[in-house]
Amino acid sequence: MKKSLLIMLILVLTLSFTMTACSSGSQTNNQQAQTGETEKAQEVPQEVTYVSMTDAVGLSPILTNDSASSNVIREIYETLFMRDPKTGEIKPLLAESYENPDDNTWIIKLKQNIKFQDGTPFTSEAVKYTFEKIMDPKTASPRASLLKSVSSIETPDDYTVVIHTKEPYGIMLTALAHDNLSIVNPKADQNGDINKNPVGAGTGPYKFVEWVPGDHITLEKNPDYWQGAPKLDKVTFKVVPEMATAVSMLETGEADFLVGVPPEQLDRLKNNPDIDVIEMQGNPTRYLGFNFEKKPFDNLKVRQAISYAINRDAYIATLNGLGYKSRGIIGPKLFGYNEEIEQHGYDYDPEKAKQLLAEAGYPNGFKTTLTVGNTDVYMKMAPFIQAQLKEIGIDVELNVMDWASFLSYCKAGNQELCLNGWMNVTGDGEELLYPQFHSSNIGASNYSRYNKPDMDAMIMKTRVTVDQNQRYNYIREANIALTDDVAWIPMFNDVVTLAHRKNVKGITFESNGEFRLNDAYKE
Amino acid sequence: MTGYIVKRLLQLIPVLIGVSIVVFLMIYLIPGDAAEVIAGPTATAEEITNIRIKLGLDQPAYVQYFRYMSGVVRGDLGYSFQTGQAVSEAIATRYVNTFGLALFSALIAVIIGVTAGIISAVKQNSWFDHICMSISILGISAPTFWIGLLLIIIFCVELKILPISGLSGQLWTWDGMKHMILPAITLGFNSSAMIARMTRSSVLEIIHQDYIMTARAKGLSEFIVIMKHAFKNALIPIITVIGIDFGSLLGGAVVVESVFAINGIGRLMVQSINARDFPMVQGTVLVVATTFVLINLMVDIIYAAIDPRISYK
Repeated sequence: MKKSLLIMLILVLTLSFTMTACSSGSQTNNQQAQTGETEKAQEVPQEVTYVSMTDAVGLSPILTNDSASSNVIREIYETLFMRDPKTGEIKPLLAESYENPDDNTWIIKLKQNIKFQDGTPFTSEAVKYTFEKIMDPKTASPRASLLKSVSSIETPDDYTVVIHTKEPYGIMLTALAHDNLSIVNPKADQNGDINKNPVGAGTGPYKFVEWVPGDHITLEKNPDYWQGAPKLDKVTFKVVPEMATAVSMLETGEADFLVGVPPEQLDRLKNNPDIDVIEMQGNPTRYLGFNFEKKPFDNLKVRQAISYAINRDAYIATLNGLGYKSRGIIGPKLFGYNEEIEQHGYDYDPEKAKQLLAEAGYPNGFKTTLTVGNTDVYMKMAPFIQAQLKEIGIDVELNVMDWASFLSYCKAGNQELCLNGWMNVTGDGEELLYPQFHSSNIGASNYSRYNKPDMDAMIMKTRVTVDQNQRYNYIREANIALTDDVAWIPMFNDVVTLAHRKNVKGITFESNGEFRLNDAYKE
Repeated sequence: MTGYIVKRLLQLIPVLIGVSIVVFLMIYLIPGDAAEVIAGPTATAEEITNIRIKLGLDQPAYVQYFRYMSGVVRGDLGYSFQTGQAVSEAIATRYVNTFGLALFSALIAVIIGVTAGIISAVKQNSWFDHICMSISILGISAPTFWIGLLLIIIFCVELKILPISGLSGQLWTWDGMKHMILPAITLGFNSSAMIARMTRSSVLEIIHQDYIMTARAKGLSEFIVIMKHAFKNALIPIITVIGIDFGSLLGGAVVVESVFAINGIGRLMVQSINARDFPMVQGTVLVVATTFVLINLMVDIIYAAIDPRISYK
């Protein structure tokens, strides 16, 4: 009897620990639910939480180049120009207007009566300060190349900036719309480290409040914002590395929105009556790349054979609607795309693939290696490609590595085939052409080690031509040439997604997967 | 005893130097560096070179290592390559979170594991024993992320009685505890299974010995026989398991930290390795290694306290 009592006692003590915790939690949450209902009856707090898989690296546009940082930077700072999310046209933001007295000079008039968040007036000096700091090699700005063509900057008065370039720089406006060329407040930058604590550093709709690295960043409304104070009082960027957790947080209301829903979570969110999922054809593209310096990938027939061997439609069908096909290297959402490109490229035809391989001197196929960074999107694609190429006799070994190793391995030109992607911040086709296919970027962003003088010349035209119609045509021509040459095999373009609680309205979502919260509010 | 503790603490120095060399070589030898990660896939060679110069990554390996170690000797763990944050500051914030999580889950693991282990041993081959041991096999073999996600779906999404995300506010406030319950159970489940099995086998070994029969023959109550005579003598291997487990909870809670979005040291370490952020990797590994050594020292001291046959000179 005593023994039974003892056992019972120990059991009760053990279980009570957990039960007490859970039941107390339940009581408190019930209280919270009741409180929530009362508050709802009064006024909805204008606060939203965005969940991000990764934390920001820094909060200075001068020193960062990652999407998690840019998402926050875009709310604090502003650029001189911006690409209209609906029309795709470049339009002035902090700038009022511009003119080109000649191809090497850009006179930019600035809007007046704009203030940084600490009350300092926004003038041409801030523009000069920001750009000169980015251009200074000691700063080691990761996007210094955006201003590589600039020779000098003058400020004849408080609201005029004159930018002189060494050569005609046709993509100047596109560059000036890039998040990394956002204008910083010189006073804030000189008085503190705006990369960690950007108090009063920008002219944007939200002010920095706090950053707990690895956990969250909090912004609050800028009541003096020059386009009118935003409706949201507080925005929190919460770091949640696990997507399944982030989705659960959205379901319970702990989070209000997230971007980049993976295919396997899409139906779960779409079926939730409290959540809306915005799906939009986006500009990020995923591709199978070749190393042009390694045989047999220098052979056009081999590249064509591989392209014919892969059934992209079948692969896209596995993406639950989160991918779409375009035959061109420059996709439909980029400046320079023209529908005629859909007449080019190579559709699935394994017999034709085998024939081309035989013509290229590989009737029995060959062995090769496909290098893959260990992120979900590529890990899923790799075995598909491996199986498809096996059908035409190409024996593919997968070489999987972490992302940092992948970048280093491919920049050094060690890969034969690789899977990679590209997302355009500016929405301009040139932003893809120059880094990926100009020979001067071999060893850096030209992973394919594509080195053709004709293409170099064509790409340079897309950079130096100031007339935008002419530029469009040059990009269009380059797209056709690269697609015909199978410089990449475009696997699919992303359908970008933003999932949000239905009571959150007014988020501006763009085809590059970015968002703006200027007009956002909560019902 | 004091002499022994001082000697063990001094042994920590070569251990940490060894660890620092191994970590440096591993980060240095694997492909990729912080400059390439910071610059991103769009960067030009010039941009990468400028960042490399700024971070001192253009210097020979031995210069980079000794420059770092000269700071460590002065108590300066350096600054993150990626964020510029002081490494000591970044670790301090996260260490508190991870330590709290490890402590809380160790507590759960010990209470559940030891209790279940003792009862299973006393009631060997009973239905309770079979159920406990079956659950413990599940605890050892079920992946932590799966248990975590399952608990989130049950308690947060369906029942809505607990919050999902990481730590909120001070750890020892009610709000902090509420956020800690699910991560601690998830992490503690695996450990409790190990402790239960170890306790069971250890107590089983003891209760069949002659002196236990003598204790019973003296007319002592079963509670005294088990707790005073059997359990106390079975404690040494159990404490060893708890000690090792607690150390690994500190460094290996990365999965639970990711699933529950806890800003802890395990996650910081993995992020830093991915970003090739050498000062941050080095700092976190040194702190975890120090903790591990100190916990082992504490376990050795506890041995002496509970077993009079063990003494350190």
